[in-house]
Amino acid sequence: MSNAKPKDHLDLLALDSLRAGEGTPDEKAHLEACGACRGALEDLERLSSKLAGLREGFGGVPGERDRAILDMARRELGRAKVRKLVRPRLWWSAAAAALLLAAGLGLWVVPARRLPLLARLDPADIDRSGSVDILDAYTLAIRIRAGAPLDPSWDLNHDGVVDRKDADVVAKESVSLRRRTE
Amino acid sequence: MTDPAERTDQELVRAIQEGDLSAFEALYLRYRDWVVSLAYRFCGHREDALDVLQETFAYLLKKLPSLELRSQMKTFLYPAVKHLALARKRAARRHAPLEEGIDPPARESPPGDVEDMLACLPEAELEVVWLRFVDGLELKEIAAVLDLPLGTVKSRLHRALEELRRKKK
Repeated sequence: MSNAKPKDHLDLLALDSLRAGEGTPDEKAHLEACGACRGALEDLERLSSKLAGLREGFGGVPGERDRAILDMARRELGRAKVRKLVRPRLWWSAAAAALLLAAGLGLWVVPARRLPLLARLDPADIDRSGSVDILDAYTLAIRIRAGAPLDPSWDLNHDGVVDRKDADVVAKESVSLRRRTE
Repeated sequence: MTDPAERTDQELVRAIQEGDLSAFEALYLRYRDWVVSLAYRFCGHREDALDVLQETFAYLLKKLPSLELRSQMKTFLYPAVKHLALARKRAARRHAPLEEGIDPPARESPPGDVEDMLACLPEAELEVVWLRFVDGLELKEIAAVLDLPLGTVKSRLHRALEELRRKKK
């Protein structure tokens, strides 16, 4: 190891970096070559160990304080576990509720928005198009006029016979339906 | 399973987030003495320091569910300990002039030369010296803890070391 003195000595921050094991290769190389800087580093290390000794000033933590803190953690982590368990259940409950609500809304909304679906069950839907409209009245009128087979369910005015009056009922119904959906 | 005491802080935090009490215990034992010494340094009262220790870990437990530890645990804990300890000190000295800072080092024995040398440092420089030499933080961690530019931390440390060296001569 050389005791030659390079021109520029390491400053205090560089020496502190070396003390903390954070020095750069250049700083380490300089230290190898410079006795004055090695001496300055030793001074800093002595100061550092004296300062580190101040850390012991408090003394120990009483056992009851440790227990109190660990009990607090036990309670808090226990609560966190319960929250973790409960949250998915709540999520599933919420999802199920949303599904039921959607289904309920669906049943409520469909008659208004998707009339064709239920209209298929309507005897006035003569052409089975899924909706009751003026074409049903026209189709029924054509069938009556042509003498084609008539479905007894088309007796919409319940007078015991399927005739033009039933076609008029369908016409009225189609108009009233249109008004309801507009 | 790895011994909790051998796991990194990040691993312990993740384990605690899964509800592992032994991981919390390991983390607590790792930082307990440092936290209580730091609290004592700021508030200068033994019972208050123990209360601050408890409050700090209560704070940590509260923050843990969403905590992503990206730096040293010390840099996360330091501001909390400092704040809680200074609040205790304020409460204790409600009727006395307020001095927010580090109390002179704990002394149940006569002050030595190091304490005398430190007593001459301005508060801001003393805090950097404590963090560097007593708490063993890197300069960039000190900058993060104190929310200061790295250059300011370096200049404070440099001035403090110059002063300590001058006093020693």
